[in-house]
This record gives sequence, C-alpha cells and structure tokens, in this order.
Amino acid sequence: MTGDAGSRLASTLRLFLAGLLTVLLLFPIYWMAQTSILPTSSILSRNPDLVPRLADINLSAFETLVRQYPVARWLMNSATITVGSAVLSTVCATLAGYSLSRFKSRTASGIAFVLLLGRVLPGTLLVLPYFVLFRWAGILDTHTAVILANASMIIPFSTFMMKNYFDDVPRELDEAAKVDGCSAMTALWFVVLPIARPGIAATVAFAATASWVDLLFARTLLLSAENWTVPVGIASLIGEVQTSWNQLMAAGVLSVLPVFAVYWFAQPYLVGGMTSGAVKG
Amino acid sequence: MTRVAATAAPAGAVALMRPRRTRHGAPPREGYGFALALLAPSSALIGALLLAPLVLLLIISFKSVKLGNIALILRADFTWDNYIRVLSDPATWHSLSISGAYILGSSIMAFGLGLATALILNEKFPAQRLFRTLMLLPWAVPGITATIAFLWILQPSFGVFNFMLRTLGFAAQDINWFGDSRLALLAVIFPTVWKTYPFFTIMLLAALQTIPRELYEAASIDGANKWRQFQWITWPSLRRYAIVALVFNAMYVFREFDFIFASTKGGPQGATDTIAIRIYNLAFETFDMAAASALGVLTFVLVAICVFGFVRWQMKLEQR
Repeated sequence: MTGDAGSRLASTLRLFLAGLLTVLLLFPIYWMAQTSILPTSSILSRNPDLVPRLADINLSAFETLVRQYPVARWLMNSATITVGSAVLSTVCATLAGYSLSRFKSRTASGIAFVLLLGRVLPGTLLVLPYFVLFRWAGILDTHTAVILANASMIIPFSTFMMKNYFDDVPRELDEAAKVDGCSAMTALWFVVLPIARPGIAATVAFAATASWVDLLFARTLLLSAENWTVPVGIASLIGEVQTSWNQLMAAGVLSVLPVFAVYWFAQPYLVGGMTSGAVKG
Repeated sequence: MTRVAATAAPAGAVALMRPRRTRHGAPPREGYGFALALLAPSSALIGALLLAPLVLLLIISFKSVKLGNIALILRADFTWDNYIRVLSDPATWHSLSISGAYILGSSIMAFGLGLATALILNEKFPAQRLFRTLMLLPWAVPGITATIAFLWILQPSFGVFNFMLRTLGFAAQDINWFGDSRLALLAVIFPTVWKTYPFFTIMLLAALQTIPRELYEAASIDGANKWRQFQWITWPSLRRYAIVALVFNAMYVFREFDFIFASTKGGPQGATDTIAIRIYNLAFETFDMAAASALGVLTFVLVAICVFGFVRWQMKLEQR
C-alpha cells in the first residue's frame, strides 16, 4: 500500500520535472510567439513582462510585415521548392532503398558507399561547384536549382531510412507475389509499397522539413528577390532598420507553423526513421 | 540434375560451368537488371550532383583563376598556388580551432540536455507522449528561425536574457552576446544546442528502451542507489549509442551554416569563423573561388579520414 502511494508520488514528481524542463526548453518558441503579438511600444522595454498583458495583444506586427514585404510570395516559393524536393527525393529514395534492401551486388554497395559520402559533405563545400555548374546549365536563379541541390542532400539520408524500412518488410511477401504471377515491378507497386506507407510518409515528412528550412542553397542559388524563400526572406530582414523585432518574430512564427503541423502528425514515424537512419545507416 | 552433369561431364566442362553456377547461387539473377533500374534515378542525381561537383571543385582548386564560367576555369593554368595560399594563411588554422571549439562546446551541452530529457522520458508518468512531442519540437524549427529567436532573446538592451541576469543580480550592465568577440562563439552555440539536443534525446531514448527493467529491480534489491544504478547499468549500455550520436552530431555541427551566417557571418574579429563559414565567405564574399575550393578539398580529405577511421573502429567493435 505504501509502495502504491510512493509510486504515485514519484510519478507526480516526474510529471512536475518534465513540465519544468519542457517550459525551459520551449521558452524560445514562446518568447518569439509572444513578441509577435505585442505592439512595438511594449516590447522595447527594459523590464519586459514574462506573460503579456491581455489589453496589449494585437496582430499589428503581422499586418505591417505582410504589407511591407512580399511574405505571401516567399511562402509560395518555399511551398513550390518543398513540394518539388520532397517528391523528387522520395521517389528516388524509395526505389533505391528497395533495391539496396532486396538485391546485394558490388554495384549496389558502391552506390551505397557514395551515398554515405554524401551524408557527411558540408553543404557550403558543394554550393560552390553548384553555383558554377548551374550557371553553365542555365538554371541558376531558378527553383529547379534549389530543388536539385536539396535532393542531393536529402537522398543520401532518406535512402537509408527507406532501406531500413524495407528490411523490416518480409521478403517472402514479394516472393509470394511473384509466384502468383506478378512481375518484380507490379510486386513492388501493389504489394510492398502499400505496406511501406508509414516509411514513405516519414521520408516525405523528413524531405519536406529539410527543404523548408534550407537557407544555404536558396540564399546562394536564388539571386533575384522575387524567387526568395521564407528563410532567405527572414535572413534579409535581420538588421534592417525599418524592421522591428515584433515583425521579425512574426515572420519567424509564419515560418514554423507549417513544419509544426507536419511534425505533429508525422512525429512517431519520423522518430523511428531518424534513429534507424542514423544507427544502422 | 546438377550432380549428374558434374559427374558425367569431363573436368574441363565443369570448370567452364563453375562461374555460371555461382551466379545462379546468388539471389535472383533475373532481378539484377531490375535492381539497377531502381537505382538509376538516384545514381544519376548523385553522379550529377555529388560526384561531378566534387571533381569540379578539385579542378578549380588547381587553377589560377579566382572565379568565372566553366570554359574560363578549364582554360586557366595549373597551379599549386591556391593550396599554398590557404595553408600558409594563419586564418585557416584559426578557423580550424574555432570549428573545434564550436563542435566541442555545442556537443557537450546538447548531449547533457539530450541525456536529461531522455532519462525523464524513459520513466513512466501521465501525458508522457505529449511531453515527448513537445521536448523534440526544436528539431523541426528552421535554423534561421532559431537564430532570430536567440538574437532577440540575447539582444543587449531589450533582450529577456539580459533582463533576467540584471534582475537576478548576475550582471551589472548589458552584455553584448553576439557583438563581443569573447562571447560571440558562446552566443552562436546557444541556438545550435537548442536545435541539436533533440537528436541526442531520440538516440539515447532508443538506447535506454533496450535496457531490461529487471536489471534495475535486481540492483535496487541489492541496495544500489539511483546514482550507482546509472553508473553500473544505464551508462554501460548507453555508451556505444552515445558515441555514435556524438560523431553524427559533430559532423552535422561541422557543416553548420545557418546560425552563424544569419547572426555574426563569422565575426566579430573572426570569433565565429568556422571552416564551413570561411569556405562560404571566401567564395561568395571575397570572390576567391579558387582558394575556397582548395580549402574545400582539404576539408573533404579531413572529413573522409575521420569518417573512414570511425567506420573502421565501429567494425572492429562489432567483431569483438
């Protein structure tokens, strides 16, 4: 009996500890959000209120931001690049991951090695030759350039995510389908892929997040302001005299909302994929 | 059938047949073409976007031209000059030490936070899944957004962090976190740690969940306190995962660009000038693409050696 009460107390204590830690860790997000809904007059204070006064709250920072800068355009550009990169890298990673999981050969292990290499190369190192190559190919300053660059960073990682996922799908399933007269392609399409749907969802979520947050490639390969993505736009606001802190934080809030939405739904799949991609990779 | 053929046929024929038979022994041979076809899109992309750029980087690094189009670069003369310039520049070695300090500082703090969160999340308490989702949230925040949030929190006059320090009596005047060359590296480490600790949480939590609970029950019957349990049970099982996580995180932080570029651009006085930032600034701020390429190639060699050594070491561990 005392043990029961003791364990309840311990569990309450842990809940309290977890709550405290969460509050501390999420403080930057909270502070960004609360600054974005306050007027400039109340944020430029030497003694800021940790909890905003209800009377002060308004959305004027968002209004001014959207009026002064082409935020809608940035969001559209980011969306285009995100969808493009996610589709391209998921298709490539799924096919390659299945191949690496089912067929072992020298060519395959060679390709696997090059993919591993791709996971450790710094982006700042690759963006240099990209700049020269893409200018030569005539796609500098286009969304295609950023989509290709993003895919080259995502595919090496997500291929191993998909390979590990397919490793857990029993081989007997494809073989049974083949005995029933399916070709290798139809077996993959109608039998294996439907089972692998959670893995594909994780790969899409990972690819979409990685390209949504990209600053390096978009900032270097997109020269004209009308092609800018959200991160490039935000980077251009830093240090601008006419941009106040609450507008900057409003831009920050707009940039995290889509990823939080994706993350909220895909988190269970993502966590599994991230660990397996890192450990077994 | 095969046995009959082997005994009936003369020795020469068996020798001729052998390679074919081993090929048949390998997993479905008719699938080989299919396997390659599946790999084709990725291979084409990786070839065009990973291997070709690396070759181009190598070429540029040996050319006496600072920037220009491909034709101009290929026509330029061969030279060792870029490597000599980069290696004799003290700023290169300074950047290497900054990268080292940046990786070390952020890894230690991120590991600490990751371990703390993982240990809590491994216990049973109400609404545990919700807390896990919330604690991992910073992982999904764009680097640029994390940077502006910390720029604002650490702002000298109106930032909430300096306000707290003033209120608690830790600081008499305002601290200029990003502007002071002694503090700037620490300032960029803050957003880095905040964005990277969830990776440690995930990895260490996965490791913790492999430890059987009976071990702890047995230990507490034997009278081991919480700290002894951690020392004798938890840490030995965590260690290998911890090292893998630290290496992966080090590679991620080594290539980090967003936090530093958006806040200090490598300054003040080179205080945050990591190798990754230096390569970028050489190419796109001072337009010396050749020196940037030479430094890039050297970095690539360094990373390759580290990764190779790590993989060898891991394989040795697995054999043991």
